[in-house]
Amino acid sequence: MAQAEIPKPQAPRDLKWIGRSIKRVEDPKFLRGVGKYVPDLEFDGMLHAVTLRSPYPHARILGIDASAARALPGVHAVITGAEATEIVDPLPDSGPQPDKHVFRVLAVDKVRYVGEGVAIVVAETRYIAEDARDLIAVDYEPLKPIVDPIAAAADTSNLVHEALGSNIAYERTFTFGEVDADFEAADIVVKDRLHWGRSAAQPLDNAGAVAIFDTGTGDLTIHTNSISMTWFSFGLAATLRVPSNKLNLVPHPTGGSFGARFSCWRSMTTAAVGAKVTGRPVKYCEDRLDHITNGDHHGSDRYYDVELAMTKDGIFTSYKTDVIDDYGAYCHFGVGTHGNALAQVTGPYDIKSTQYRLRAVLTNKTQQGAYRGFGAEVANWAIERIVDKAARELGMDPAEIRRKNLIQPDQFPYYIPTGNMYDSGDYERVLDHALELFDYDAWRAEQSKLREQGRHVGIGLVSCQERSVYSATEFWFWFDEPAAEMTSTPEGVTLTADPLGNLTVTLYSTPFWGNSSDTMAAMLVGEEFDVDPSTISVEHHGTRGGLPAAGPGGSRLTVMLAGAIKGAAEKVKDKAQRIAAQQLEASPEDLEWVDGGFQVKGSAEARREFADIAMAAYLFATELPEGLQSGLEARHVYDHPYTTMPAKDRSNLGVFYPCMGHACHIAMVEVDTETGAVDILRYVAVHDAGTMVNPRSLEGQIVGGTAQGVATALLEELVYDDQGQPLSTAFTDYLMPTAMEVPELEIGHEETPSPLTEYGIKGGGEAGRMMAPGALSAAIDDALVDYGVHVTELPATPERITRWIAGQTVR
Amino acid sequence: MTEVRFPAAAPGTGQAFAEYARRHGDFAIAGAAAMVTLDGATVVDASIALCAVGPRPMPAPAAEDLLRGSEISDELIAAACAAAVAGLEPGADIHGGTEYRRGVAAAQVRRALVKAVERARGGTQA
Amino acid sequence: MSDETPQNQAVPITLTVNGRTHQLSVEPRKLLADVLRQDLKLTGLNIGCAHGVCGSCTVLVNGHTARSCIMFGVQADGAEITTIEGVAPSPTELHPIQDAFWDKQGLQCGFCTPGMVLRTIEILRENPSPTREEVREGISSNLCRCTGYQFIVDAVMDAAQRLRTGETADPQGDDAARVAAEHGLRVEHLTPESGEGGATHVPASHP
Repeated sequence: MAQAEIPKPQAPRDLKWIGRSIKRVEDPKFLRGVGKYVPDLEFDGMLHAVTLRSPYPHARILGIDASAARALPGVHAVITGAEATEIVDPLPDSGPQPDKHVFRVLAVDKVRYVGEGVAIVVAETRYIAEDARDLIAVDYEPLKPIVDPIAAAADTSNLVHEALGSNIAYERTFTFGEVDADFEAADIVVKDRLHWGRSAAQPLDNAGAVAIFDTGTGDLTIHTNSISMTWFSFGLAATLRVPSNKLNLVPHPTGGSFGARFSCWRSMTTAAVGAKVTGRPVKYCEDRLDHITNGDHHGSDRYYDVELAMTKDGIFTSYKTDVIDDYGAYCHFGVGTHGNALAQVTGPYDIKSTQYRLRAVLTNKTQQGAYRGFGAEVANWAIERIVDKAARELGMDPAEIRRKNLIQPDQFPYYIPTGNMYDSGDYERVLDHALELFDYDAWRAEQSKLREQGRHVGIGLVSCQERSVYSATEFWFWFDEPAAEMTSTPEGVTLTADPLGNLTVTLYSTPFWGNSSDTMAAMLVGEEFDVDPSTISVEHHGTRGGLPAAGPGGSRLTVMLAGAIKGAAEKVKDKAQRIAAQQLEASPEDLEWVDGGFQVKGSAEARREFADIAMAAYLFATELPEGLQSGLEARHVYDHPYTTMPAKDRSNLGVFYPCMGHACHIAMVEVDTETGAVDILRYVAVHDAGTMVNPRSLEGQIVGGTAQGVATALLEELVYDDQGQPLSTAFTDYLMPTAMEVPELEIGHEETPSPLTEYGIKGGGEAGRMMAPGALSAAIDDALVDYGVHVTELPATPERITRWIAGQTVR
Repeated sequence: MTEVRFPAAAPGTGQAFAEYARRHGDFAIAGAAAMVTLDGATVVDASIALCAVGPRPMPAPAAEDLLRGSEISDELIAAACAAAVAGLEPGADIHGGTEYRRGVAAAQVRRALVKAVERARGGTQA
Repeated sequence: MSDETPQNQAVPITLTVNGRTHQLSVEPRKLLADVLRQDLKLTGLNIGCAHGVCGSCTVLVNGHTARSCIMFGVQADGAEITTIEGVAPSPTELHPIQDAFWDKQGLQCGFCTPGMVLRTIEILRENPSPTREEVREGISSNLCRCTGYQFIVDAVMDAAQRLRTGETADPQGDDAARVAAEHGLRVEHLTPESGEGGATHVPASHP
């Protein structure tokens, strides 16, 4: 839905509910422990499935003997990988060549990572299923593990997928603008070599599903905690070999996502295989070990060479990225995480040209999926690292070098070299707000004093983008001949007024996953109808008979719900207005909506409350205007507000992520040079996510996202040894932070409305994690400036920090 | 076990414990306990033990010997730290290699000793 | 190997959960979390890590927090247990701690929330006027992946205020104290001043 003109942003009109930090409507059931996550679901006759996982990173399966397991009382079925191919087809896969890196629910001939499923056991209880799992004997022929992605990229003999003929799943270099000329003309070129280590979202709830196969009708119902089940349910239907209109995916709340509840094809398919074989409801819930090793959702693992061209005054002119990404054994999201990076690869800076070389490499590790930021957080870190390096080279303050290069308010809408458009912003204002909130100059002075006392205290600052509201082009503009040039990322709602005028909003593809989707929907409806959001009922519809919806992701949902609800509200109000006009014997054009009812303009006594209109709509057909049917309900589907197509030669990728948020984070840390420990002393975060709907909820996202960014920067790492064995497979070793490791944030807001969206809202759900790693890296550099430390690898573990202090290079 | 008895510490004794873990409450990368009895500036008695650097709590007799009878000084404490970790081979894991853990252990010994000496001097039996 | 091995033979236990006494027959290997979730249908507690690290499975056993995912049901034989379902005073009212979590948005996905609420009951019973830092230390026994903890700290501080001012009594208070007394449990907690080297107490429930 391309628009020719981008309007200028406008401050939203007077709002009653939007902008208020009301209590969330979702909360009471979770406070009481009755929210019902998938592990809590029970159905008559329900059986339990577990997966036997491979202990080898790379091995041929020579044979499987499941006879002892099948003989165990209480066991209903054991399904091996080969047997599963008789029941289900490969899982939905957006990878470059799905027929050559075939993604199945269970491995068939060969296992490709520790944790890959080899067989499914279905039994009366999970205890029995696990007992039986121990009785399955698999004959493996171990193969040489492929672990180091850089070596794997060059290796053509030992392959993760033989059919691919290479361990490189995707390679291409994109050049946007006159990169060579700009580098040629540069006074200074700064280079950096970086490694962003592997971490993962790891929500406290794991993926889970209950599948119910109706043997009478052939209907397959899957209760799921996937958050994107609607969009591709037809793809899952193909996998499960059921007609798409016989498959109903029913959403349930999940204990966090942060990307990890995207797709969840594996959990749904595992349960469905069990249900199709046994004819009984089957529950499959990952445990933590399943989720860490076989959950399809590791985060980026990127090796960067980046170069920044600039003038001697520190004006950036061009930026080059050369990145190898270790995807693990499959790549079910394709290289969409790099599409995300390309949405804002040049950051908030006015840079004329850029180049992006990507090599997506396959190794014997758990595959990547999604984690808050979806790859753009890594690109943020990379450019902020090299900007800091440039500042140090020029002897400039990190705030000043950024200020010099920030895109100015009068430059919006601003097109970056890749073709994506930034809709609005005032980045310098955000920077100034953050500096003021931090009291930057005073704390720089304090820092000097502390340093004189021998303390290693540093201040780090980043200015970063948060793109929001994706369109689907980022998944396919990689290819000259994509399988499908998909461009729809819709979100639909149904809005129903009952005879008393009480309102229900029905959401599709939107269960609850921790963000405040019900509250957002209720506030938006409340805004349109002048009613307290706590009185709105929110329903979650399954896929069958549902409206088009893409669900949460890419910080899109609040924006998309606003558009959908606004559209549905207009339709409901339009009908109500016509009924009220009939009742008041006036012309509809002479009526106006005032405080929950329609009245004749300038005549408050000639008025019908919404409840009176609703009652007429339901029970008094003879009072309705000619041509109107009974009832008061509207469906509305809102499409992406602004997408343009990529150029055929991909010299320009088009507009695909235009609602551009921005933030400045400033961290102050102290480093213990003996242990390498980093203590966060102060932390300031100023965000601009356009118009805020519920500021407290947005702040909750900022604090939570920042905590995850702290974890990515300092604590969490999915470590593999050189034999491909994962070493951090439990929360004992995967160091999710406690309340003692994360800072208290001082938060500030700016609100530059989006010109593209209803109310000027932009997304803000991923923001904290997109900034914190850069801010902390910079703060550590600054604390250890005497040692010349420049953080080049995350997480900056205490041991790595002591090695940097000792002058050793890590990458 | 029904009972454990500890002798009361002599006057001029200070004790301290220092440890470092990557995450609050986790098993330590390394830790050290120190007890020092001073007579003026002279160390009358010293006891040091380390944790998380071996299969069990590891006493540091060489460091204790070095301290006993000597005048307390930064150099003496540094020497005691080096002696306390000499020969230790803490097991490596993903949170730290042997060399790193040995370094952290030495730092914890110093921190515990400095605090213990401070307490011994202050006469406070915290 | 087979279903006849003695470890799988169910044994009788008695649990008093949220004030009601239950006679149950459970396999010795069955985790307390599973006994509560499956046998008693109390699914408020969640299993996040199954290793006793995250605290999502926290319940009160004889008034003290315990991790039901690393405790067998048979170990709780005879115990008095409070789960999240037993915290609110009635089906239409919330406990002041729950109210404070709601007001301060001290939750997002809600998965850690039952454990956090039960841990808060314990923290505030031990220290009715904690500082923010003490609250952070106190809740460091439980992981939350969503909130970054700041609004949980806000909620605990707010709950402490509510309970102190006596606007609302702690419906759990008397009960838990009685249970603790009956079972003669005494846990002496060190204060920062009473330990060595500035050590602060580690919550009994911490892994």
